[in-house]
Amino acid sequence: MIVEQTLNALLLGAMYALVAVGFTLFFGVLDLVNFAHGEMAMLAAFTALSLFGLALGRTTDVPTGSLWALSAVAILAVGGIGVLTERVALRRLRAAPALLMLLATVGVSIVFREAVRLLYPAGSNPQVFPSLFPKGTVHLGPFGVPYDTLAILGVGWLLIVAADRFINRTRIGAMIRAVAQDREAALMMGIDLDRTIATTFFLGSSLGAVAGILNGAFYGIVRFDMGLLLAIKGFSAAVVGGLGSFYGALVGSLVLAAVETLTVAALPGGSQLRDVTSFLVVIGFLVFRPNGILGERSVEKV
Amino acid sequence: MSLTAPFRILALEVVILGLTVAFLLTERLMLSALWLGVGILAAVGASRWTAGEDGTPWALLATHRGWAVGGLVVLLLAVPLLLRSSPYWLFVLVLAGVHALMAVGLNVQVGSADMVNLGFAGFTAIGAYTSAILSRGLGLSPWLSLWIGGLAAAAVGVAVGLPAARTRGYSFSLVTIAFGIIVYLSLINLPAVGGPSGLGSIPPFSIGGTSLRSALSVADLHLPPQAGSYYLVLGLLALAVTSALRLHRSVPGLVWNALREDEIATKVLGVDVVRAKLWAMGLGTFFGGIAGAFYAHTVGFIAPDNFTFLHSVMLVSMVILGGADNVAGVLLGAVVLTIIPEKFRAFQDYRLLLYGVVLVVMLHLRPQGLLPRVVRTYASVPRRPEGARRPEPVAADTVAVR
Repeated sequence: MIVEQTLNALLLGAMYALVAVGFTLFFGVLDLVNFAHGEMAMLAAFTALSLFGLALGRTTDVPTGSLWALSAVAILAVGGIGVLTERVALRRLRAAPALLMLLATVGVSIVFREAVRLLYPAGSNPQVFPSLFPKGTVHLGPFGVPYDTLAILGVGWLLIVAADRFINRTRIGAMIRAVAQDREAALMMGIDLDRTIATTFFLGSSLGAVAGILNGAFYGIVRFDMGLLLAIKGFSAAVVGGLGSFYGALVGSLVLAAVETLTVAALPGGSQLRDVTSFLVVIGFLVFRPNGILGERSVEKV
Repeated sequence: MSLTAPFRILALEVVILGLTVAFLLTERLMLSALWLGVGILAAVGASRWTAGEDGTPWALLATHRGWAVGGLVVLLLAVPLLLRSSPYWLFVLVLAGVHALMAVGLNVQVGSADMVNLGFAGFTAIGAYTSAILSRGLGLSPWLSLWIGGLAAAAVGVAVGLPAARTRGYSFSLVTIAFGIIVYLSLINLPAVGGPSGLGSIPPFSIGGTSLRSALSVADLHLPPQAGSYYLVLGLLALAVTSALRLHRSVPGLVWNALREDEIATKVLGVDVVRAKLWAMGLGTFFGGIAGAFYAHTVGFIAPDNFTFLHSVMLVSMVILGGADNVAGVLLGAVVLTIIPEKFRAFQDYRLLLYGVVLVVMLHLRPQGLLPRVVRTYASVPRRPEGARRPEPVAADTVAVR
């Protein structure tokens, strides 16, 4: 029971973290809260479904290998959509107050959501998403753990570690961190601001896309309006952990996932209450740690 | 000159309002677009014609305030007569009034104090449900429960503000988002308030036994059933706008602006920052609660889906696109962003999609809002003779720090 719930929390945490990392990255480079980010997960799931349909003629009973390949294509495509979003809807608002960019991302998210609802066949209805992993259970001592739980956990956290390596160990990652730290100084060091921001959007959006695909594979169902709640959860996780901090986003995601798993497991009628308790916890955290768990203690100069 | 000034003001108002009504009454979309173009050109031309030295008609409107306000009131009162043939658009205007009422309240927080409340729909829901339950369950008169709804929303606003005042920026926004979602989910999960299907048969406002939802006829004039609600929302709006303008011009408004410009400097000056924020929360949500309650009694039916995160975002976009911290701009934003989606009715399914596109495009075309924030000016003599030099404008932040 405890092991099972811990795995559940880690799994949920991985999905939130994949989204929250994007929020923290965008906030780092642009001071932006990107409400269109949740739609990347939704778009990835629906792009993958369309690709399955186009390439294989069906969305069920297909070989796992081709599902993986097509999902990867969908993830990269959504990364491209993220870059395009920034280029078209946000770049010209960079100098304006941050609230305008936030509203623009809400507009973009409405557009994506409605476009999928209208253009995907029967888009208003929930769509069945194929399982990307073989059925069956692994026996770890006395516990039976389904393959897909294990696989999703593995893929999710592996990608998060990879993203961490990328940001902290590569040259491009260093550029992203430099822009996040001080935009003008980065410019003076010869860093191409537009390209770095585009890279950040590709990275963040494709991680969000992974979350969407894993979400679909785990629950077996995707909806056109799945993005909004995911965005708010990812944003909450990033703020609770400390907006702008990579590890903060991970910690925040785990906290949120733990609270939700606990609510569902421990309270009667918990599955209806899970969002209420998680948002109450968010409020509580923000009141006592307004800068987040790992957020920088900002000393303000007058 | 003194004779023509009021004439010019009235002409400006007649042109703008007349073209708006023409725009509303045109059912064919291409024609509406044409009217919109003509309307914008005419409005720009008319405001040029009435413009003072600074290129805006504000100075002229301020010196002849009586004419400006009086003319506007008479014209607005006449609108139901002009829209007799299409009660639908009169109802859209009532809805625009409700949104304007909410936006004026939200503006106190978002525009004046830079407290970006992204859960405002939750507060309006408190007002709507409180008033609906009091009048429906306990038989209280809607005229009374309306105000109780506003007070309830304000009480919740202050209660949320107590912890939220410790946070700022995105943390504050997230606290309000979380609150809005908690309210929405609670309404859905509480069977006592109707659950997801909401509350119906909410009693209407009535005067001497006549419901405001029934058709009005005064002498030979037959007005559509929406006219009563229209006049009532105008009255509430007049009240809200007057209080908002007075607040803006007095010390609280100045303190909120100071908070927006530099919270630390404000604190250093000895201003009780938390108290100022709580006032902004309480007053803003009071208007929001009244608007919600008015909506409940006017439409007669409310459901959790009337108070979602998307509604909160739409209200914020009305404030920002209209012109943050400019009451006239906020009113314009609310009216424009209510009417435009209704004009897209012809596209049915594509309405929300187009709304998203319009939002993004407008943010790009007019990031400062339709009517940008006016720089505060302080004149030693309120009414100068015409032609006298205006004193140099003083920026709000400079005044606040001094």
